[in-house]
Amino acid sequence: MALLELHNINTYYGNIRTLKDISLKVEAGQVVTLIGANGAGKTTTLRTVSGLLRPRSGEILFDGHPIHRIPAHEIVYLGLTQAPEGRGIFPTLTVQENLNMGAYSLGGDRGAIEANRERVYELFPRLAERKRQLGGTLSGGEQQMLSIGRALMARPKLLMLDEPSLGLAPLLVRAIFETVQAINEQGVTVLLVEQNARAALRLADYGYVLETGAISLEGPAQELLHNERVRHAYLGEV
Amino acid sequence: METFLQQLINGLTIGGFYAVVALGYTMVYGVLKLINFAHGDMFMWGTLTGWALLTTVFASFTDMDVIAILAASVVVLAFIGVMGMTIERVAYRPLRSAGRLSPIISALGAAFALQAVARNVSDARWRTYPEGLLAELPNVQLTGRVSLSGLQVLMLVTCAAVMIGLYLFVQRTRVGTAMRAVSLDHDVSRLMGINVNRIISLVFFIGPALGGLAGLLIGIYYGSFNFTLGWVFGLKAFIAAILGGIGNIPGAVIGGFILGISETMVVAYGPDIGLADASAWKDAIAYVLLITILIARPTGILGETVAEKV
Amino acid sequence: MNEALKRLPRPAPWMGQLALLLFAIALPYMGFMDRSRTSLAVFAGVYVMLGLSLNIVVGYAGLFQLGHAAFFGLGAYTAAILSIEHNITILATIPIAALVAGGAAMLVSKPILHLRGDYLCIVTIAFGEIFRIAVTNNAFGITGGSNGLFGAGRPELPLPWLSPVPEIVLVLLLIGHLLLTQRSGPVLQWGGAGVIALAYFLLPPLAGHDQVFVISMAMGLLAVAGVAFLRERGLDWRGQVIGLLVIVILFAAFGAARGDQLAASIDGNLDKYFNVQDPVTVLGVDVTPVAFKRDARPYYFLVLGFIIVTIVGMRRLQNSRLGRAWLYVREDQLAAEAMGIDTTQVKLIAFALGSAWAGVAGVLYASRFTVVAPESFNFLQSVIMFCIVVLGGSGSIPGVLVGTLGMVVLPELLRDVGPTFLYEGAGPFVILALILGGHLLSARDRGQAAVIETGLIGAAFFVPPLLLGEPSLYVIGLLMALAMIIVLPLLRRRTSNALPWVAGALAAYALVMIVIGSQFGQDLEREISAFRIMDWRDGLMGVAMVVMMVLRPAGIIPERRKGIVMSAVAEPSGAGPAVAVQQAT
Ligand SMILES: Nc1ncnc2c1ncn2[C@@H]1O[C@H](COP(=O)(O)OP(=O)(O)OP(=O)(O)O)[C@@H](O)[C@H]1O
Ligand SMILES: [Mg+2]
Repeated sequence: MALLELHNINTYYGNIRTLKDISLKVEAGQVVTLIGANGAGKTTTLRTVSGLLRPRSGEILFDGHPIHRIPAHEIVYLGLTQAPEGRGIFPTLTVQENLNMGAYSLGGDRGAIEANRERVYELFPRLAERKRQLGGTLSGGEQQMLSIGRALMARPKLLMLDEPSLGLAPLLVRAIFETVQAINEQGVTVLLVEQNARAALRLADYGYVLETGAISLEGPAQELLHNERVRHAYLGEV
Repeated sequence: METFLQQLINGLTIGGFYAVVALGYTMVYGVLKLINFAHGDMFMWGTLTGWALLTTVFASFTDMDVIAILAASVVVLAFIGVMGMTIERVAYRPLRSAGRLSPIISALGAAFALQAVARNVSDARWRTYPEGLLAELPNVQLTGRVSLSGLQVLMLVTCAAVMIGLYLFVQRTRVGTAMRAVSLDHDVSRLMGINVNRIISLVFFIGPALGGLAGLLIGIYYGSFNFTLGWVFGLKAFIAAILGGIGNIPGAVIGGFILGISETMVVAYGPDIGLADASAWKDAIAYVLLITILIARPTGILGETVAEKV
Repeated sequence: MNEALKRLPRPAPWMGQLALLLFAIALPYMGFMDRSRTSLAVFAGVYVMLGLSLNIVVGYAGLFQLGHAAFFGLGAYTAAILSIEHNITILATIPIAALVAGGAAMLVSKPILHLRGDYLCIVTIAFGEIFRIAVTNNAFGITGGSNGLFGAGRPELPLPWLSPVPEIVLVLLLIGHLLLTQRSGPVLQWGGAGVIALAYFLLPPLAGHDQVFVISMAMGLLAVAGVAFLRERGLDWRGQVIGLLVIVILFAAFGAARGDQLAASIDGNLDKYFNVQDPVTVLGVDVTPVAFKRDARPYYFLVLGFIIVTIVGMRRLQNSRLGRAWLYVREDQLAAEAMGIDTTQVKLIAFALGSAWAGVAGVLYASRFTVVAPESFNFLQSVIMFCIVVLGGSGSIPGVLVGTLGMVVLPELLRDVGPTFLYEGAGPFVILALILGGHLLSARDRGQAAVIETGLIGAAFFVPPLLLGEPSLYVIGLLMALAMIIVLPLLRRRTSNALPWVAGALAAYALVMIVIGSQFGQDLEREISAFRIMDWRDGLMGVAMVVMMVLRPAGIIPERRKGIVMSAVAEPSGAGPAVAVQQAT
């Protein structure tokens, strides 16, 4: 049984059907990537899994539990967190407070929170230097680190990242992807949404291609990297 | 100089009340971006409930008025707090995604309803608190003719305690930080595992409860009230919140004191500078202050200059 | 909905409007309209004007204005001061009042228009309050303080059914008809004009009366309607001629058969209400003035005329360049700016125009009610105006009419209603019908469940009185029905099938009723008779405001353009603006 399974998910904005019968699986321990053009519905998929949007039909199983009727804030307690699109930093909270919010689901367990924070600071030493700085004053790259670090604070089993490379300089993109790999090696399963298909597929074990709200292609990442259509449409090769 | 000091003290006292009521507005505005027009009337309900308790249930405690007042405070805190939560649940939550116009109407409707019930409960008459409550509190002599009455000291201390307590709660505790997070972004807060509805309920408990407490205190301070008390006072407290920069707790406090002091000073010194009937115009001071400050600093004294789509 | 239903001919929108207009014209002659109710109708008419004017600011431009009463008051005070101090005929002050109110709005709004929504809202409240405090304190010594100003002159206008008013109406009708039928061919255009004139001049005498303007006007309007109906059938010229003839014959037949009764009853009414004096004629034209004091009816028509002009103007405004600019500013200010719209300018125009029109309403108010005092222009009035716009459906003209009915007319009518209304006669059933209808309307998407739920609400209503034979318990029934409306959605959310629960609750409730009713039936009746509904009027209004908004957040008759723009904004360019619209909480 996979860690996360979506079965025929349909999500609507008003009367517009944005996700059409999406089914996908994320096996424990893997990095799975979801790629697709702008507006394909990647963010919508993640928001549906997180519980911010309700699917009109279909089923989502996390660790064997159906979660598509559970409120978003309770899903976090099951071990599923997300670094949302646009990073979602709380601008007037300090770096440390942002991280603490990530561990909200741990309740008042200060020891665990402290330990998690140390782990995040180890992963992103830049954050440790700036822990008293307001989130809104961080640079774009630092905000992305904070966003990922914050999502790790709850010790998730599955981490969902929505375009972590967006708007970052190439060097920083490399660093972020390396960190994602490191996180995965520590045992956290990752569902990665990316526009930067090449980097994502190189990192991932398995990939899905989303086109106008439906999965058009899936397969082991290596195969997708060499797939004619993917190369043409998403890797910019002729 | 001495009159000035005396007026300053009076202004601080009334400003403290404005500040405590303003806190409720500011917290609610923070988490929901909603002007809770019913807040002023919940404040008045605090006065009303306090009056009802002190003249009936706790009336026999007149010898021990401190205990009676403490007991009444507890009841008022709980009752008005629950009232606030109920109003949020019934009148605001269903409208959370309905644009900005409908919650305004709903809030005004809730205010009307509260006022109408209070009007009938109090028979639309002026009501007085028992005489001589806390009369034995000692006065504090500052200089020659400047003094604080015991009541004023109590009011100032209570208001200060409430404000500092709330500030520490919001800044230092986990739930307080979650409150600030919710006021920044509901969705991201939910992704953190924060139960946004529960936080909002909590805000709607704390704000009105404190407002109700201020209502009780003002009842004791002034001695009499009627059911329209909440509207004007609430509006001014809301203006205080805006003066300081809404959504911002120190801002509400600063705004409250500015407003309280300006009102007292204008009434006291108005005749000297040619405003013969300054007290008749007293209520206009808040509005004039509001307009001037907003023209100069559109987001208030401590407000951040954020661009927001209307 | 099935296909056959869709193909049924739907009444054209103008038919509804015409029916409404005819109703409005006939209203003051109806049996239940006594003097105070006519006066109320005038008052409501002024509020319709205010709602329409505020609709420009709130509905079209999306600005939160909770101080509209101040501009209403400015107009009223201007009119009163000019007419009392300077003896200017009060209706002649309309342009001045409009200028004063509009100019003041421009002055005060200029520095605040850039403020974001809620700040603007509170600043407008502040302006409204400053105005109220200023007039209460007799600012500049001209406002009469808290007592206000007395004796604003009532205008003297000729009686509406005496020359030359009917002739002017006829000319207006003909012009309207000729404009409407510009592209309908000569037969309909000129033949139709002939029929209208005929209906106007010949049929009232045929009906046994030659002076009754009301008949003339109704006949003329009906003729216009008839011709418009022919126009929409797409007939050839022969068909048109036959159609026109049929209209004439129908009129003649009606005139011969029923005309004299109609005329007599109208005559009777006229005599009863108007006490027509001996006519005064100048060069053969009847110019009999009537002091408007005696009757509200001439005012009614005056205000009605203003409302019609306003509505026509609003419609044109809505579809003009300016109207579209307002729409963009309202839906997405940044996008509007990007399109090159001067948003501050556009908002300023909305503010000034809306306020100027409120000033005009102020003149009408002052001229009818002659006392202009601060409490008519306080915050509550601003709230009522705001509610008229938003409850009815922000931006929608029919919404303003419905909103006025709900916020102004209904609360006043409650004044006449004793507590027994709640349990005697048709009262409880009227309320029940409203509740059930409202529920069916709001639940119609749920098909069968909606019907069953409606049945349950009805059952909740009938259980107590039927079980106990105590009519006063209809009040309890009403409360129970209302409670059911609140409980149903909650249950619906909890369980997929709430009906068994509700049925069970109902049974338990019936049991409780039997016990309580047998014990307290009599007491209850006494309690209820002591209930003074006026004490609770504002509270009921408040509860109604909350309930209405929760049930219909976009208002009773939402503006139709809204959806179009939203989807237009949501369509291209990815998630950006769509999210902005959705999340603009
Ligand atoms: N709140 C919303 N209301 C209406 N439509 C929306 C909303 N959010 C997204 N959409 C629409 O749903 C579709 C999918 O959007 P989504 O944000 O999931 O795309 P995406 O794949 O994440 O794109 P990107 O790579 O640009 O982030 C788009 O057409 C978008 O316009
Ligand atoms: Mg996206």
